[in-house]
Amino acid sequence: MDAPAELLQRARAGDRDAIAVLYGRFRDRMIALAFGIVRDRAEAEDCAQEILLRAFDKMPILPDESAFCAWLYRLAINHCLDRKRKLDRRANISHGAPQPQHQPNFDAQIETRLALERALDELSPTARLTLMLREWHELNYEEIAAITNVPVGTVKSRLNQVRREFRRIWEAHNGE
Amino acid sequence: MANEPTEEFSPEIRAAFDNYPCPVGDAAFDAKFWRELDARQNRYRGLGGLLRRLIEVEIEGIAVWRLGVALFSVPVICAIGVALLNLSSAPVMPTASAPQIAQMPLDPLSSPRFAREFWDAPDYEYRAPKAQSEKPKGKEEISCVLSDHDLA
Repeated sequence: MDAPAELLQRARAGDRDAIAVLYGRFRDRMIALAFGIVRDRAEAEDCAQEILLRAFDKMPILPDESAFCAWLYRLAINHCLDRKRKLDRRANISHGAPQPQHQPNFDAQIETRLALERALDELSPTARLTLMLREWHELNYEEIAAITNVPVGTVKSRLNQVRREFRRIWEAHNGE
Repeated sequence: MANEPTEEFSPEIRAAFDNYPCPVGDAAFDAKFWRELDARQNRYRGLGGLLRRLIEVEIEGIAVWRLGVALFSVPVICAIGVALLNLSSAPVMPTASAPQIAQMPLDPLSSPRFAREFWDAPDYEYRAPKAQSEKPKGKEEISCVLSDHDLA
């Protein structure tokens, strides 16, 4: 998962080709991660844009090249959670008004997609994030542990718990 | 990447995850990224850019200059507080006291009476108050000068 050290060094020095390689590798992951947290496509693109800009802009002060992936995901998660909190606060201020920005606004006609979104929305933010990192971003336990700052054993037990919870919700909605 | 099997989910759930259309970036997204990156990197060119970069250095998300100000302000505030306490509790030194207003002779020209009369009558001529004549001593008063009778 980690980018080669030489590539990171070039990107850190401002080499456009190296930045382009890393950008291409992480662009869609960052958009998907942001979308999983803020649950709005336009907001997710804004978040991903800002995360990638900060990442490649702040690369000269990165402490450890081998931790680039974990650092980028942490940066992304913190930024998206912060953005999500602001969106929720704004939504709470406008009492009772419809909240279109919290609904997925891309074409989701297939029933399973809607069911998946509904089940994910019922999970806690931490549980949803852990499941997303595992299922969509295909990170291994060690990588998730590095990103979320918890031991590997905690990641494993948390994932088991989240999967049980997800199955329960899924079956409750789709069992009949 | 995904080294561990994910057989915990049923094929139906697995398919839902695999087929979920996560949003992806497009050409407009890329163009915006490169434009913004150029703009940001241009901000850090030259001496001004170096200063800006130094100011924007962060530790755990907090700008270093803010940390410096916060750390510096603590001893400064303490020093000001101690100085104020010392000033308020300092012993009062004896100083030469000014004469009381009541003891000062009243200047007749600046008295309210003079001002009012001067205003009412432009040709007012100031007359200095007559000096009070000494009261003649009565016979019963004791004189300091020895009289002939006393000598006798």
